[in-house]
Amino acid sequence: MSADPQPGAIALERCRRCGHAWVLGRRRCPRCGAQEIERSRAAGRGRVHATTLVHRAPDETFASIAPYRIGLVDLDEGPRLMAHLRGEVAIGSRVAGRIETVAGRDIPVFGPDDGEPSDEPAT
Amino acid sequence: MTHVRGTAVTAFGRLEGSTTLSLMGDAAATALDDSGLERGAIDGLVTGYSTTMPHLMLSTVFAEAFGLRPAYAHSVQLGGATGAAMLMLGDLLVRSGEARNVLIVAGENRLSGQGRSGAIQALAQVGHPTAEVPLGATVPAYYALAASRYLHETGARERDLAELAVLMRRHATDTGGAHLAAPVTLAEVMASKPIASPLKLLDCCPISDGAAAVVLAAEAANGPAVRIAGAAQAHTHQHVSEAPDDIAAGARIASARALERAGIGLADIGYLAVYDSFTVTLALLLEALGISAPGAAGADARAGRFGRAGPLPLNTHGGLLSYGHCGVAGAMAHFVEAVRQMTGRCGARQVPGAPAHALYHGDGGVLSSHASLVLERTR
Repeated sequence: MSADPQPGAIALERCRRCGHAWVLGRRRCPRCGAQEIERSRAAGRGRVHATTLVHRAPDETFASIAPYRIGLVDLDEGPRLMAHLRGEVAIGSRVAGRIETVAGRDIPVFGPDDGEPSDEPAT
Repeated sequence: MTHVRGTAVTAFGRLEGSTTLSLMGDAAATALDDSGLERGAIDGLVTGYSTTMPHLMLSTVFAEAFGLRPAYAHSVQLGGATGAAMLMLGDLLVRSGEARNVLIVAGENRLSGQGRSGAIQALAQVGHPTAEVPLGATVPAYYALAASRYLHETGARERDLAELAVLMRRHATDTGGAHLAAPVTLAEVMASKPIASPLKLLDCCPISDGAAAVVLAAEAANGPAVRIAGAAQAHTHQHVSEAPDDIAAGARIASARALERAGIGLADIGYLAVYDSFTVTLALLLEALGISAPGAAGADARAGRFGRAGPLPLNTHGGLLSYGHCGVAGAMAHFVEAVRQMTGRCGARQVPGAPAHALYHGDGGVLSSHASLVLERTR
């Protein structure tokens, strides 16, 4: 992330033709097929759609931090993404988050939204 | 018309010394014996995949090892839906005339060949390689996310899911060859160690070694017979991150088309063979198929609806949750059990009055890929 002008911001892609947005990197809009893709940044805010506390980790690295909470977060920009969750959050909670290093990997981490304006506005 | 001419399932569990090809060969030989056909009569071959033996051409590797020279061979990969999709392909091959006798076979030493940790890592790769897997997600975690929504939306409780684990274990207790046959209580399921909340160990199927095979043919053998009356698939997404809010919608779509093609309705179904990798998988599928009201699958199980003596027997061999899960063959065992119940071959666990119609459904990924088949007894 060192060359990133907004370190920690969650990357989004948006179709210039139909406006559909997603987080799983793609070369073609899965809704309309257009190849004109605009890379942008999520504001990092959303709502928890689903959540699980993982006890049985897939490898030793994650076993060292287990149990850890994984959730699906519906970003305000539209896409749903998988993230680690921290703090007291449940399905329906408003959350805010950014990319952090967890178990040696740069992944999205969300926690309770404190209501303050995000320091990583969408561009 | 496609007839189910022969069936085979091996014991599931830890089968030391077995390999993918040895297990596939064992099941194929038994299914051929059951069909009354010589191996030279097999002109179509459909295989799945094996996580312990990844290969670009598993179907022809098996054909060479087993001594087949089929006119048509195909390896299918659709995760947990593979078994049902293979059977659908076999039906298409027979009905089109491309093959007269199709061997459908799968097997894997998933437990002894790599161990549980290896299997858990291999299976997690159905998730997204950069957006899901690096978060420490696993297949139980993907399904646990679906389970959290299921409980949230329907008001069902964890103990409702646990009822399905109790039922599958009850069915496995007198099924020879079951991986897990010791009875469990609701309290034991609820007290089992957490894996990915709300799923606990006994909400999850075991990882097993095993194999299954089916011979589909243009001509039926003598005696009681079953045909494939309708089949259909639906594919709504791959990753749980991209799943529709109605996450099991593919089951509703595929089963409706399969029933329509069979020319019957859900009310005509007398036996259920439904994929059950986790208790929540079974609950979501039973409800998407229209069998149970939303949130009511566990209550229906508790009320005896899906028992051997109930009105709609379900996975009477014990399902993936207790007979075991060895990959592609795991879900084929449900099909084999359905055919044997319909033809009165289940001995002590035979349901009263061999059912005239059965619905078989499998899902792969995270409720991503679906295949439904309707079976009909012809005599």
